[in-house]
Amino acid sequence: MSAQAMRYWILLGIVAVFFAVFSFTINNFASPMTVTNLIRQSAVFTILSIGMTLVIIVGGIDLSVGANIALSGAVAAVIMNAVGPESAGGALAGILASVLVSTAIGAVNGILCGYLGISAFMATLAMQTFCKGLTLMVTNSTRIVITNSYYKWLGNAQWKLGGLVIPSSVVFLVPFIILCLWCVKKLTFGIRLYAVGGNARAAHASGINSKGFIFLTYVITGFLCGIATILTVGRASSAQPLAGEGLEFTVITAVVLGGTSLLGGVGTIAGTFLGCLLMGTITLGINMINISVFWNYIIKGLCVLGAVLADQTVASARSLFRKKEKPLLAADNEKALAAIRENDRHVLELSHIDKSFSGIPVLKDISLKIEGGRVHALMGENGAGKSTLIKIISGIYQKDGGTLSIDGIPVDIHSAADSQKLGIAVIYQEFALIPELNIAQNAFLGKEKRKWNLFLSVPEMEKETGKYMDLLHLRTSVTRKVRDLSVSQQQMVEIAKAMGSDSWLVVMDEPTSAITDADKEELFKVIREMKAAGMAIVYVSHRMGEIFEICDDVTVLRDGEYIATKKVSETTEQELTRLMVGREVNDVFLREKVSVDQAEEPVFKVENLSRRGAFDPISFEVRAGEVLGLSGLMGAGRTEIARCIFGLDRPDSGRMWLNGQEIHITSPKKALSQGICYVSEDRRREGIIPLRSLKENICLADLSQILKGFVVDEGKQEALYEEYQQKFRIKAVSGEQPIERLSGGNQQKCCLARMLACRPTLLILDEPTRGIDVGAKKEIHQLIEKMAKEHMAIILISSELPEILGACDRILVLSEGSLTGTFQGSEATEEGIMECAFAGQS
Amino acid sequence: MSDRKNGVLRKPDLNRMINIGILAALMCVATISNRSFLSPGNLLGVLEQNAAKGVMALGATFVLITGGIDLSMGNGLTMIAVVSSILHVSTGNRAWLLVALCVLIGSVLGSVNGFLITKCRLLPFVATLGMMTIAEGITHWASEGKIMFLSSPAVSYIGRGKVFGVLPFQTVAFLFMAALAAVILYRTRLGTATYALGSNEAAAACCGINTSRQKFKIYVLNGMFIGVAALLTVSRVGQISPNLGGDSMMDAIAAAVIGGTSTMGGRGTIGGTIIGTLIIGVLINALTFMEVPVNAQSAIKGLVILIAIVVDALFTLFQKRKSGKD
Repeated sequence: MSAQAMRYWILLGIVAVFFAVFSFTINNFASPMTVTNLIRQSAVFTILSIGMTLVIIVGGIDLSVGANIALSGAVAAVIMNAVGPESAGGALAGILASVLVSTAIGAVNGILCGYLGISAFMATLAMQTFCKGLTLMVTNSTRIVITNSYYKWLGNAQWKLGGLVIPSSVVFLVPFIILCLWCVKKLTFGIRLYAVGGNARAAHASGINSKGFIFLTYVITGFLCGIATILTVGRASSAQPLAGEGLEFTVITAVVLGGTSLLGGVGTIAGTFLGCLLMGTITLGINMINISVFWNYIIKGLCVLGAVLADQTVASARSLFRKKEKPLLAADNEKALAAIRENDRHVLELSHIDKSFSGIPVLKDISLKIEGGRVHALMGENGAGKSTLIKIISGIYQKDGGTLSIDGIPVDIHSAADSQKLGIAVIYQEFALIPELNIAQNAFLGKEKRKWNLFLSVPEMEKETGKYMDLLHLRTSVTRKVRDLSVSQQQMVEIAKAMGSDSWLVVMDEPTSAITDADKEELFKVIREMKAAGMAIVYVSHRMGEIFEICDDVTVLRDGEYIATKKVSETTEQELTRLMVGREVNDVFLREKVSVDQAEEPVFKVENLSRRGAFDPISFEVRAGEVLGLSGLMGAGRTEIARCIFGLDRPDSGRMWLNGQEIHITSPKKALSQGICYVSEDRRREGIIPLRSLKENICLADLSQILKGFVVDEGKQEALYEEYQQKFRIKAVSGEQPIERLSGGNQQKCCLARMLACRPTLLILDEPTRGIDVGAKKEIHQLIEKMAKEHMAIILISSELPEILGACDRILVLSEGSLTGTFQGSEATEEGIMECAFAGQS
Repeated sequence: MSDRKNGVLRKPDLNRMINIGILAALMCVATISNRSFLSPGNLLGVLEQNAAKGVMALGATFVLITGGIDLSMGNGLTMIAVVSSILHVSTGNRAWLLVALCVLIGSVLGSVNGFLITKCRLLPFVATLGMMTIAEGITHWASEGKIMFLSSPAVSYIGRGKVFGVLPFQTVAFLFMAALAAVILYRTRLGTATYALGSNEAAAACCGINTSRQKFKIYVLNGMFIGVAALLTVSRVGQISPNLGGDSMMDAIAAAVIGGTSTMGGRGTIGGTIIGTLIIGVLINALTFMEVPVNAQSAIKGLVILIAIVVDALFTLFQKRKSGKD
């Protein structure tokens, strides 16, 4: 049974239990009248819950619903009493006023949260205060009685059906629930809803107007508030200034009970309905028992906490079953620490380390020895497992098997604090700096020096930080916030941080990827000093030159496996490359090149495209069947160019032509409609909608292809999935499987499939093989070959030189945002490209 | 993404200047409408009236900087005030007991929030939403049908007394709490951790910070601030009522946010929160002098908060454009 179905049954079960308890304890509870009362009482918050569910799924929240009802009710009452206290016209005016005012408030919320990107919590909280104030003004703090019988009828009418009394709210409630269920299930609305909620950036990059959609959900909620107003005012025969007070929290509680996550992307209308049923039953029962209102609050509060907790308990119980590991040797951190204090040269030994993520092994039986007084390089392609290994040493990840030992004494490293205590410092590739804190605060983060064990000794820490900064020749005040530093300076702060930590082992993950050559020399000087002092350094880098300049030993990993450890003095670049890439080095990326007639009219052309701070004006063209490579270092402007072409960023200048026609791209949606597709380098953030199924992920970029009329045709959706699943050999259980369960390579194939389903004229692939295994790499390149043969124009962006060299017909090289070289595929060499990539660097 | 960054104006500094500008403008308007606005008596009065809200805003600042939220603040204040007042009165009006109980019950509330958030891994919104409802229930249970007055002279002194005959005690209490908050935020490990948690929790963990323990402490601290706010409120009102909390959660969060604290976490200062509290206080003070009806005041307050948020958002958007990132 799926987790969702289980939740439904559990909720129904709890409702049944409450019903049974109330039936025994309260006279007349088990009667048709209860049903009537239940509907009457819960109608308003059930209607609102539908809107709230939509808002919460897209990652927002609406705290203004209660105040919204009060305000629109007050306005409607005033208008109705002015237009015609008794006439049908007056009632109509009142209805219109309720709906219009409410929808307008929803629209303002939508603009604030959707288009201006203000935190939904803050915006709607302020809106709540504003509406409450306005209501008090309109009503003058007293209730406004309405006499219009037509309007009252809407809230009060009831019909007898057999033994059952059906209140008028059913007329509102049932159609809205059915309509909403239908919209979510049958229209592309549902697919877009979960896409925006699951990953708004990826949805935007797939041509969905995320901002507009978020706006829409708030407008819908506003409109539903209008309906709720009619019911509320009609039933009470008056507009009350304090109507709807605290209603938003009841509504949110019901929605959360129904399984909607406040983090967005998860939840169903059906679940919300059951949540409302539960809330309604509890409230009704407690009111009838006639006990203290105290219990009502306590039970509601416990329900919220309990429902969410229960979910987590189920999840953690499941993960308990998966756990297995048992350390082979008893670890003794204290003993190791004592040993560290006694000796001054140490050895960290990793033996038989295993690690897997959701069943996919990323490290297999790695054994490695890191000695003091030496610089140990760790090499391997992207996805080889270097970063995972580092995170196991530093305690961010826990190993599944194997042992870590220092000086022969096994140690347990369960957190970053553990590894720090044992004298291990790590400089991460993605910086672990806090932008809001200054340099000194960052340098001592987590290990601050204190007076009386309480107050920070700021001057002392600043002085010491200054010392390290001087060593690194970093000339800036230690009280500057890290946010204001350049990337290169931030990297140096990371290094200073490691130096200040009293460690004997420093792990550096790509420390030179973001710094200038001059800074690199300072860094190397520091590394040599550390080495002389007996410290051990683990150095991760892709740059061969650096390995040979600074390192003593080098270990190569490939696809999570240990390949070899060599002395740097006894190896060569060629040997290392061979070890890193394995046998298939030549045939992974190589494709049969079709000769493209350069005289032929280009499919796509840009002229003087530029974006300030990203890249200088650039002009180039791509022909049908041609693969154009964009090469250069990270941050050279390659991705930024692609983003401007696809409409994710706005260029400052430049013109573009597609098939000879000038085009103006302002959003991904427009780019897609013109036949330009882009597969992002950042699969997690701009590619997949993690929690949604493969089927949904694949059809996202062109929803019209799965429509029959304007309704989603599940057959077509299935067929689309089948087509690409076979074509791309996507390894999945079924189309219903959530995409996050797939391996990186299969996820990437899905992202590619999503774009190819739009039948693009121009396809831009940004690092299409980053972080995926060799087999999948090869398959993706076979697909590229096939697409080129089918006369698609392709732009390929990659940091891996073999990929660029093997796959491209023509190569543009960028450095610091400007074009520094153009090569024909046949005459390009690694050296030539690297020279251009470093050209103009300071 | 681009690895480059352009020189961007330091935002909070500008934000701070804008805030001081708004405050100055409001004070000018207030002075024009009422010549005695700038009199020391009135200025101290503004601080006195807003002391409890200000203390609560200080607590909220900590929680918001960690990227969390505390919805139980308003109802929590009422609960703390009501329960401790009842115990205080029924055990013979000892003032020290009221003070101790307020802080104690506050920290219990904070610990429960902290426990739910760190140990049970609930979202702060959900955990404090649940506690909000439960606090309301306890208030009703404790206060049902009771009318109770606080008559101890020491409590009246906390509520309306003047230190050295001039400085309102509430003002002094607020300033003391602000100083305390500043010391904690800027001069202790907990303060540094507060920023680290809200800015990048994973990075904070990488640096060896015990993130859940620090987060727990923040919520306990916030609970104590709510306790102090409850003490100030109930001693000023001199009577228990289920409406003591009122709009205080909204006001506290608004004061912090107007003062430049981000609801996304990572950003915020004590100075900003004090200015935010003053902006709301002066606004209400000026509106009262202008004889704007109370009902309209609350609408205007909401509008001002909305405008402040929108200006801030537009400003951020503008700056993003300028720095070349969409």
